[in-house]
Amino acid sequence: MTDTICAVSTPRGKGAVSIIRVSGDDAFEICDKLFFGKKKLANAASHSVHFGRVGNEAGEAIDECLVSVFVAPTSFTGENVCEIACHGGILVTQKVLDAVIAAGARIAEPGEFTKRAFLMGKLTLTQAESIKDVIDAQTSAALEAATKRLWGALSKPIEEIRRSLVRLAAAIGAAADFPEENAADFAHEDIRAILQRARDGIEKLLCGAKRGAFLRNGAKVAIVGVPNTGKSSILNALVEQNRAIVTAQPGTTRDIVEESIEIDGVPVCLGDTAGIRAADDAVEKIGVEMAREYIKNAAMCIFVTEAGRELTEEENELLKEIGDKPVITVANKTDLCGDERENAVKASALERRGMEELKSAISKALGDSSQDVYIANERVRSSLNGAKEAICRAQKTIEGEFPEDVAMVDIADAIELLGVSDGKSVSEEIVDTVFAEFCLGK
Amino acid sequence: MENEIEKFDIAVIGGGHAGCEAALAAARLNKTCVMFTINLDAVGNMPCNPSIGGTAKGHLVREIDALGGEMGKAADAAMIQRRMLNMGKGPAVHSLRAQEDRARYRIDMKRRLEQQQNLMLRQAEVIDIEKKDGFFYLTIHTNVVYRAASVIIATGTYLEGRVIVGETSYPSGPDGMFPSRRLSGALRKMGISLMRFKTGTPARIHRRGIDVSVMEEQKGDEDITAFSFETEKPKDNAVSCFLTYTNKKTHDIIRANLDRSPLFSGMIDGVGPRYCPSIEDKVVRFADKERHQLFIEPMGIDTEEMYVQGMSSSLPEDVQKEMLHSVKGLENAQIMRCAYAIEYDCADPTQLKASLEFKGIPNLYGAGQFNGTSGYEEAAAQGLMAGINAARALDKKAPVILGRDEAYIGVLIDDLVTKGTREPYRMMTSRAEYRLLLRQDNADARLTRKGYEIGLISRERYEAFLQKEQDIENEIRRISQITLPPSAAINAWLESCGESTISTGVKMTELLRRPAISYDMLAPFDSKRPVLPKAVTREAEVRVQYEGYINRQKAAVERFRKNEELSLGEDFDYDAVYGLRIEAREKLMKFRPENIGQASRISGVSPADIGVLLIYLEARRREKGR
Repeated sequence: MTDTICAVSTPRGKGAVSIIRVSGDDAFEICDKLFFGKKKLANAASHSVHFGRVGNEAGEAIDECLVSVFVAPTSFTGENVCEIACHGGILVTQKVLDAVIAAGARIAEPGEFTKRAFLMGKLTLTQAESIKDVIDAQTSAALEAATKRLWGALSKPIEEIRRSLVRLAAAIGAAADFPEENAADFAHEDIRAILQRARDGIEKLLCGAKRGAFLRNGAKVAIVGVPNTGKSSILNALVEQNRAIVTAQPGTTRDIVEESIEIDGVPVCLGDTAGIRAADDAVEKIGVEMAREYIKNAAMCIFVTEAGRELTEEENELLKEIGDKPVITVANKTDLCGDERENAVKASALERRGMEELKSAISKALGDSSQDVYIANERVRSSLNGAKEAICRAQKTIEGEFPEDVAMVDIADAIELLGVSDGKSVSEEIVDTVFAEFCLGK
Repeated sequence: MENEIEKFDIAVIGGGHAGCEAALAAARLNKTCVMFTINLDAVGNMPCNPSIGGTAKGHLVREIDALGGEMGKAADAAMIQRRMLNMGKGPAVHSLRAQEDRARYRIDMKRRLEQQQNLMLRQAEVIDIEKKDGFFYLTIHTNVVYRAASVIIATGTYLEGRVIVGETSYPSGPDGMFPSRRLSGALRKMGISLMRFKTGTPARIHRRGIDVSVMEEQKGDEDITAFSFETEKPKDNAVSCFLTYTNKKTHDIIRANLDRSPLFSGMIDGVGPRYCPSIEDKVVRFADKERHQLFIEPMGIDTEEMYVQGMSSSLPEDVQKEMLHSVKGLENAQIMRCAYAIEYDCADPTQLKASLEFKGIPNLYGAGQFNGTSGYEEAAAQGLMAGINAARALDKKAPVILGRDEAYIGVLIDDLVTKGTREPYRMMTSRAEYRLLLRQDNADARLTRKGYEIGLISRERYEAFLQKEQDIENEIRRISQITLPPSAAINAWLESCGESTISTGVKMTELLRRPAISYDMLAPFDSKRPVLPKAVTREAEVRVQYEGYINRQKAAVERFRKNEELSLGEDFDYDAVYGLRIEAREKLMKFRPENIGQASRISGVSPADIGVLLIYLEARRREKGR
């Protein structure tokens, strides 16, 4: 019995097609949870290709795709394999991968498909020699990259959280191992506070990592607003060319007009959308729907309004629709009227004023403030998520008024997930901390 | 000459807790056995605290008993007070501890050894070992030579023992015994590398100088289990212990005399245990603590000697006296034996296999403090395993190796042989990853079958064990089939327990999963409840109450076991593995792990190194398969 692993096996970036490879005993069952085609993949013949839609847990469609089925042992790894070919956008690919993980697969270690292929006898010994090289490369890469490049700025805050949990585990352990020395007894309240802090900390990191991903993979920014606020002009001003048609007529923009620029190193894809309103015109209606869809998928929104007036009811509705995505409010048309708002970028698209301020606001909203941004690969993010879940379980144990040492089961899990282990076990570290921090012993 | 030499299958050097278990196990497995001890009156002696068990140590004793060892039974027989520690915590850390009548324990253990078939006790100091033609030749101090096919070294703190009290130091074993002065050299000659460790013990004082009326009395617990699963009726509590504290004055005395402490003056080279710090160590390292607790424990029924737990020291005797007199209730204390530190030689345990046999020296085993541990229970556990494995090796049977997921004994030995230790190693619950599975209450469920297969558990006991397991399973099944309908009575009761009420029918097992509710409390709602032994119902209760956690740990064990089952073999050629980092290769060649799991726990071996090894192993397997 092997667990099922997954990874994007095409190069990252924009291409026509991305392939997500899933391998393991449960590959078909897992993919069937997110693939909606004519027949179940579990019933499909080996080496067959199936067209269908891929959706996430919530049943929300992500993309159309082709899934190739390879039944063990006649596959690359020798295990059951599904290869999901979806459209090549970074966002789409990530969403499909997330859905596969949510369905029960785990992100593959570097080189793990190859390793499995070898272990299943799908590669010859000569080929295996080269895999050893691959794994060798990972020895230094994993050690260095994992601790430096991939973890980057993450390693310090993760280590801080991990240490706080080690200290907590040590305190609980000390209380259990030296029950007659009340020195180490922690109050339930302290335990709760420490667990909650650790959980908050991890959540913050996950959030920062998400923003960090924009830095690496680019971000989609929707330019939104009610009709005729000058969204298209803002787009044109930002990209410094007349990309979108601009007229005085409200509802000019129907299609989404996309253009890419770079802001402080972040590839930003700006999308000019139709002004949101209850439109009568059939074409405009479609445009509004497309705009709404675009907002949903965007990393953030530039909300364009007019200088010198209060937000309309429609505009407030729109802001509500955007939800908790980052939003930059642009008070446009300052050439016509001044604006007193504090939380808005004052701009005149016509005169191309305020564009630098807007760019720096976009940059900031995408997490370019160096403090909260982390570059984390999928593996790190999935470890962080695992650690968060373990902490939640520990919290439940404490809430349920089980004795605190019972929560150690999950706290130790969290510590392990947060650490790069190198021979030193969690229990060893806890014991060391017990003696470093508590005065114990007969 | 050869004919006159006495010949045994197995020779055990040392008659402490490791030696006793080793000799008994080997003899019971039908091996002729001789046990050497420097003094026959020190067999099974407790030179430190007069108690057995405690956190994690109590688990070890229960495990020793489940495998067919002796310590649990002997401890039950000489018990004068017992307590279950950590009752307010989870079942994983409930730990039994007993105060023992030290003299009775020693005498009783000696008789158990004397009465054992195949076992001979011999008062002698072994001064030389030599291996020739597959046999060990042991020379004792009178120059008589013994021959043995296997040898188990269990020399405790005797090996080159040196006692230190303040500025005074002299060669000595523990408790005024002679030390072993020549064996170290013989062991080095065999290629064994030795370390120098240190431990210490507090003073013993006369009862009449103690005013217990100003101390906190600590009584034993009633209605708790004995150590041995075979002890039907544990003895009653016969004594109390007393709690008092050091104070500012005590600490001032210590600080003023630190320059006279051998620990700080550099007179002691040996490495002492962190968990058993001397009082001067505590005062220096935790300077902000205003007081440290001291337990006054009786040394036995027939003696006025009392043990002062918490005041281990190597300060000069006059300072010890002053220190004691500064403590509330000890103002008039009279020292009968002063506190001392003892340094001794022991082996670096990474030279051992998990069977406790020395790598490269077949049929030579180490056990107990000689392997770098501390504590009677840790010693006994290793003695038992060394005895079992030495006997099995002579029968050409595979060694018995317990996993980290099976027993504290497994954790103990795995830690020693894969990581080694830089201080006397003490067992702690924090060291066991799967502690919720390794409870003291289920030691029999974990190990009795093994003990039976090994041959140390009788058929009768094994069958009684199977019956108990059956009863537990049946009871769990029975209560999981009972649904309690919501009623005024049950809701009133739930409210009185501070629990939320029920509005639909609820399984009895569901209610039992609420931490505040026990099996016994549910009796009024369980009219057809059968009469079952407490050990059965308690076990059923734990298994139901902690089922979710237990299952999670079982899943973790499954992941862990995978690598434990991939054997590396003794003569594994790490040089042939292309792609191992140099550091990992060196470590692996030094430690010679027995399987991938063990390899992964060696510090300096990274997960990527393990990946390389896995691939190599699989390649080799396939090549062989062709």
